[in-house]
Amino acid sequence: MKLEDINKKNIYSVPDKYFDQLPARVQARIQAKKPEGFFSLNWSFTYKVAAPALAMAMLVLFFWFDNPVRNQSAESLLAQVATDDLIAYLETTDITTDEIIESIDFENIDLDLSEETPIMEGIEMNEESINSILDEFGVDEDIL
Amino acid sequence: MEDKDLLFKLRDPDSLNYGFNLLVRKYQQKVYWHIRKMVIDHDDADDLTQEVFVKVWKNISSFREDSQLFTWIYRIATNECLNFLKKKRSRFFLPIHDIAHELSGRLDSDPNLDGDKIQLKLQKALLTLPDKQRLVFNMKYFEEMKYEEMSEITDTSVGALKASYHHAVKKIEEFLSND
Repeated sequence: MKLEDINKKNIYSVPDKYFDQLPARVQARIQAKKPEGFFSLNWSFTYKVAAPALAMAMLVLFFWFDNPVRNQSAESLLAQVATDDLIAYLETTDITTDEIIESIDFENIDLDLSEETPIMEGIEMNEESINSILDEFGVDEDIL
Repeated sequence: MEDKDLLFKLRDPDSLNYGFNLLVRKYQQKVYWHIRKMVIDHDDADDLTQEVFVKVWKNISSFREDSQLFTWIYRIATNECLNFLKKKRSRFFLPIHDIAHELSGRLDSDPNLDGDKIQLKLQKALLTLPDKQRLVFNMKYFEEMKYEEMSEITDTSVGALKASYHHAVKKIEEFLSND
């Protein structure tokens, strides 16, 4: 038998109005898949990655804005340390007095030596006391 | 509507849904029948047809106009069919003859078939062919496609398609004469 002897016919059939309804069913299937798109909320992703990342970012921001040390210079931090503590620290180190003096930049130290500044302020000794000290150490008043 | 007009609508976000609806209406029957002749069962064909258009929707932005829209859609449909049959065979560890037997059984049990004995016999003869050869035969014999179009869809040379088709015709005629 030859193939040409057979009438070419589609023997299959479809349910009534199948092709009228198919586009709507395809659209429904596409709409159902849309939540998986790029901008949709993926709960698995949210729990595993986004939430921990957000928590970490908030912690970093909290410490960044709340840390009082962040904007302070070394000088201002040292100023908060009591003088006795500083002396006690320096006594325990191997730094000599000469090394400390050498490290001081005298040219840039802003000292106010104007007349209004009482250099002897704090001593507050009267003339009688001064004279007795001078006598005690045998200092000739003319030398001064 | 021409494919170029369809593509114009699909490129515009405002008319994308409308354009896609037109595309489905234009190609749904060709795609469905292309699939149905391969998988035989209506429910399988229905599911695969919808899947083909979902894939078209997902990938329409990457469609390049160096091929025709209909050959691109046919290529997706063809791959869906072949993958479906391959999965079916591997799932049940069935050789090709058992798949043919199962599909032939569906032909016998389908009350909605509209054909005489010889046409039913032709369909059974087709089921004895390997999937790709059956696909080539369907496209040439039933859908009357040009070999060049088939070549683009199947990514096979025209010469190989011609040889495959003529070999299929010979096997079918033997089946019809002997059985």
